[in-house]
Amino acid sequence: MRVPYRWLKEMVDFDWDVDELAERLTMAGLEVAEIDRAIHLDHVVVALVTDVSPHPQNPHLKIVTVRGLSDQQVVVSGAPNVATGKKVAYARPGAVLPDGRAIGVAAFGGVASAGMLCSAAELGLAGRLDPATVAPGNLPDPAAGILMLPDDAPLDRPVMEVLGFDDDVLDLELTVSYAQHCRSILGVAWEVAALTGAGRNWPVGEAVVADALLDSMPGAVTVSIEDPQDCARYSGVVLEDVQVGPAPWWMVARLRACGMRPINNFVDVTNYVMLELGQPLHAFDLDRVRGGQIRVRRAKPGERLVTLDGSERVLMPEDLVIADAEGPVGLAGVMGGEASEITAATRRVFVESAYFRRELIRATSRRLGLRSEASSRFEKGIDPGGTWRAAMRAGSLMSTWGRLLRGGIDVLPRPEIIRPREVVVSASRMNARLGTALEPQEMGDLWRRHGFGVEADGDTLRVTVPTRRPDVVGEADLAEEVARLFGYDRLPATLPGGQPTRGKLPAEEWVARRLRDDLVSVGLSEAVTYAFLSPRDLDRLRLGNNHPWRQAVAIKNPMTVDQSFLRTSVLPSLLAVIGHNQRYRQNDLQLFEIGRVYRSREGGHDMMLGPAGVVNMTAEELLTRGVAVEETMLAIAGTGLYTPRNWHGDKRAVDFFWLKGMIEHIAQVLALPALHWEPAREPFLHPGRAAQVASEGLVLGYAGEIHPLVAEAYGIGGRVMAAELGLAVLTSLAGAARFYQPLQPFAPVQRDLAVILPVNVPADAVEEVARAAGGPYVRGFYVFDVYAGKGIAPGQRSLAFTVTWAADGRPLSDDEINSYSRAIFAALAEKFGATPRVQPQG
Amino acid sequence: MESHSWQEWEKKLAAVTAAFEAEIAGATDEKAVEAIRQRYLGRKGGVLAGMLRTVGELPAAERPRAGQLANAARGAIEARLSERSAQLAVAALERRLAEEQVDVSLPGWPVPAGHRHPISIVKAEIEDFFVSLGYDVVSGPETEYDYFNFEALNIPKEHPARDMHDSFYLGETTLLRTHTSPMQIRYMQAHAPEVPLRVVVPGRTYRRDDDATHAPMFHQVEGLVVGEGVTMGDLKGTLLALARAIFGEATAIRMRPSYFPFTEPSAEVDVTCTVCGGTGCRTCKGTGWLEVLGSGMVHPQVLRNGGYDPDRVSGFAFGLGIERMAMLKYGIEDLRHFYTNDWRFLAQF
Ligand SMILES: [Zn+2]
Repeated sequence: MRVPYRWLKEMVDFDWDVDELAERLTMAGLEVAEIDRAIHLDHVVVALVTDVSPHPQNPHLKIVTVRGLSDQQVVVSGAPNVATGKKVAYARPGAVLPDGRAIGVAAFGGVASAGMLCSAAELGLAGRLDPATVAPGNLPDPAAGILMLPDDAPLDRPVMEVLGFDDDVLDLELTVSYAQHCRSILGVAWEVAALTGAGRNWPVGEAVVADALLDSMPGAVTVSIEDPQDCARYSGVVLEDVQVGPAPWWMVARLRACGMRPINNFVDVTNYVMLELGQPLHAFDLDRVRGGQIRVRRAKPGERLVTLDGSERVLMPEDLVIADAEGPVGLAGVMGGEASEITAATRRVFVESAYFRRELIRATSRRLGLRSEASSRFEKGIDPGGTWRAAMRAGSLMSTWGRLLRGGIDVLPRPEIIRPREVVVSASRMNARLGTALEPQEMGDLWRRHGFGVEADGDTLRVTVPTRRPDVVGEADLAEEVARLFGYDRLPATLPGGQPTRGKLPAEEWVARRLRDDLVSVGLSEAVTYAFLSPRDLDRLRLGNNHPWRQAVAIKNPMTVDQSFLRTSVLPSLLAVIGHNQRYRQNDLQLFEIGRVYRSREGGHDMMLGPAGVVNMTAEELLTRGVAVEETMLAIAGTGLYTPRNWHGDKRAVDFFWLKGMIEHIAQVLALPALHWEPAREPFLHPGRAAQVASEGLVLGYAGEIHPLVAEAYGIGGRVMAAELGLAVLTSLAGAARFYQPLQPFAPVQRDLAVILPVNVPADAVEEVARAAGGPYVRGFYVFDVYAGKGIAPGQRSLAFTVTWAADGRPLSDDEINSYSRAIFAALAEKFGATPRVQPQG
Repeated sequence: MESHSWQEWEKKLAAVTAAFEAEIAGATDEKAVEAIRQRYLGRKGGVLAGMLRTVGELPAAERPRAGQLANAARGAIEARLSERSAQLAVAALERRLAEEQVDVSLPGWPVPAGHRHPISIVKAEIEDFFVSLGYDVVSGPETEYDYFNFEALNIPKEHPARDMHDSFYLGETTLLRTHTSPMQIRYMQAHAPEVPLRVVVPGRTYRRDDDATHAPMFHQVEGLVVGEGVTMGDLKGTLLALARAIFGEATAIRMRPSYFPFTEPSAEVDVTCTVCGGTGCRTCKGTGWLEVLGSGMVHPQVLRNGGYDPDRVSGFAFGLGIERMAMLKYGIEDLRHFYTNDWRFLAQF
């Protein structure tokens, strides 16, 4: 909201300059987003054109005589629109224009010109001023012709003052609560008065109701309200024999400073009073209100109304309308009807000042996309006690151009809404909430500065809150007023006392932190991606119709199709990241993300809803249960080189076993039980390079190479490895406390063995047999070489492995080891037809 | 045996010693040293052995003296041989080391090093700070009910505050949480009437917005303290300590009255500008302050909705944006960098 400094100062007698005012208001919760600084142009004043005659030599120039209060000057001008009897912007000799031009006396074709007549552009107002709104005869183009000023503009006044640019204007960014009572100059003035204690000089009195509540003015208007909930109060005044024309220049200047366009004197007064007092008003051409009847009611389905902007609106029962005897003449609080608007032909005016239900105004203005200064005030909430005062204020301003009928209309079907609210509070509890130590008397004085009534009885304070403060409802709101006036900066800074509590991270977060630190230390980088999923992802991943990843939660109002579901896997997010980076030739990328995936709950979304929308859950569910099933995953994706090209010559690209190594590394760090790797099939993975990872009968997730068609669908070149493991399973399996194993005095014995066996015998089957056959002291088994090709029959491969033995408390002899080795060979021969590639030693 | 007179013998031994000295000085490797050793000291055919054999031909009175001289010569030769061997070994080692010189300016082995995401770094810093003050950390669900996200937080339907929470809806009454505040209600309901409650809720939140300063998904941390005698001064002290933990000990905070439906009184909290240190610059629009979080005393109705009696307990709550904190901390200008995960961005943390 825009607040001109001088207008405010007219209402409150404070001393702060504009910068201090801005700072103080910001610290009181009325954030000043910007100060629009005043423009001063010395010696550029209002002058009256008294004569225009042709130039003797140049047909494009004119000799113009202008008059100020006490002098007359001759100016040469080339402007096409200069005419006798008009007020113009005249730069006297001595003026300096915004572009730096110094104005003096100059000769044009032998005629001396004292100063110049200026266009809006020459005054530096291009882009800030539409000249057509200043006076009739101006073109919208600020550079086209000199600027004509309003006929009532006083001679010799600075042009910037007449236009409303000579005042500093504060641009307030109001929060929802301050938008109720600070959405007017008066409202801000109350705040400044409370902050400064300075004297108030309100433009109108505090009268809250008309002398007598009337629902009609004989011979003029009758008002009926269909539902008092929709319209709790409806006030108005009537003017007859009106003369519609331009509003006075000073009023237009203020409207302009506040960002509003002038229309005509009656409409401008409604806007002016709205800016001044915060009450939106509407002026009807009373002769176009059929039957003189105002009916505040809901629209009937399909009813139509042509609004002021010329468009025909089809109405619904959710819309509140102002109707006459025959049909709607306006959308209550949102926009008037075209048929009853004020025109030059209007003879009788009805000014409406009402209190409508804000939810209705909000819904209608949103549905129709019609938001105005008026509707936004209604929907934030206005002062129900202020309608009559605003109607009177408008009536008295309008009475210059018409006859204000005595009395007026003030229908108040719900009188309780204008009763001041009484709140009883305890001063000591107020102090306890704020951490202050104020006496009840001091507290009361702070509220009185806002115009609240306060009666103190010991610790008990009885506070009467006027209706202009609908935001102050209870003790907490009064506490805020105390804190605001006392000063947030003066509150003490303490820490909560009371019993100590133990700070703790959730178990999953401990594991997540361990994983992050660890994966980063082995060269993976952390990604954070949106939790959305595109329907196209499901196809890019080649998922069949029954694939569980298709059980995605849909967003009803997504911003884009690509964000229309919640992800059921982190994989598409990471593939997109790889795709993005490859476009910047960043091809060597190993990433991980610890992020959530979401699955539809069987039975739908709303199953926990109880009566009145309350959700019924157990304590455990309250802390964790969402609308969808939410699960946190550790996702890994890698592509390109893990060890980059280097002059040592050992670059390494990621492959399946890189991925497996990472997962085995995680298993070590988390002290997981043994992992089991089974070949798996997933539509998005390479059919021969995919595994399911499990441990103790629980599935951790998948790991594998991305199917080349999937990589291609994501615009990725080269091979990509990816895995996704459930964080909850990892957490449940993560090792409990580790116990120390005593060290043995004897070195363990190792033996390298190699066998040739069919390629389809998996390494872990060989390990299982070797461990079982190798005697009671096997401590380790590790494959260190795999070979197929020259020297090995087709369909066979050589597997070389190291077996480690150690006995408790005694050394193992060569004979023992030899016999265990022979037993391993024998068992492998029996089980798989394996033949030794290297004879056991000894 | 005139030819084997003592003088002759002695002269001959001196010649052998001199010849040895000449040869050993010319030996350039261990092999040559070994050959010389064989030639002079070999049991069979060695020059010195030959000399010893001729001692018997000397007059008997001369023999002991000659034996002594020969043994002395032998000792000297042996010592000289070892000395030469050692000299040559040192020289050989020096030669090898000279050959092994490397260009120390060449790059070392590429040991892989990954990077933490800035959001996760800042999130952990904030969590750790509050854990040290005894706060429980919970994350809560992201798919939420209107009741927890709005209704129970004093934001009924058609409340103007909903304008700032443009929501992604999942169903009629379900949505993606627009802030972490629903966990205030959930946590209170799960624990009421237990006091004190101290909890922070880091997590993802969602609003329909997408530009350089708004993302459809972002991260918040909610804080909630409920107990007997909790004051607004406690809120101020807690946030001051947080600001110093994240932005440094010299940081000051400034609280400004504001509005949130679920707190009253409410405050926006500014911290000393991280760029200029408070003197005023472009980032802080000349004010010296940067807005970082919203906070306030828990609204009595919200306490009631959580299962607490506002006449008996009070509380404070705050909510901050992790991205905002990270942007200020690292000087990141565009929110979208966080979610694009461009390597050039990730590699800086
Ligand atoms: Zn700054």
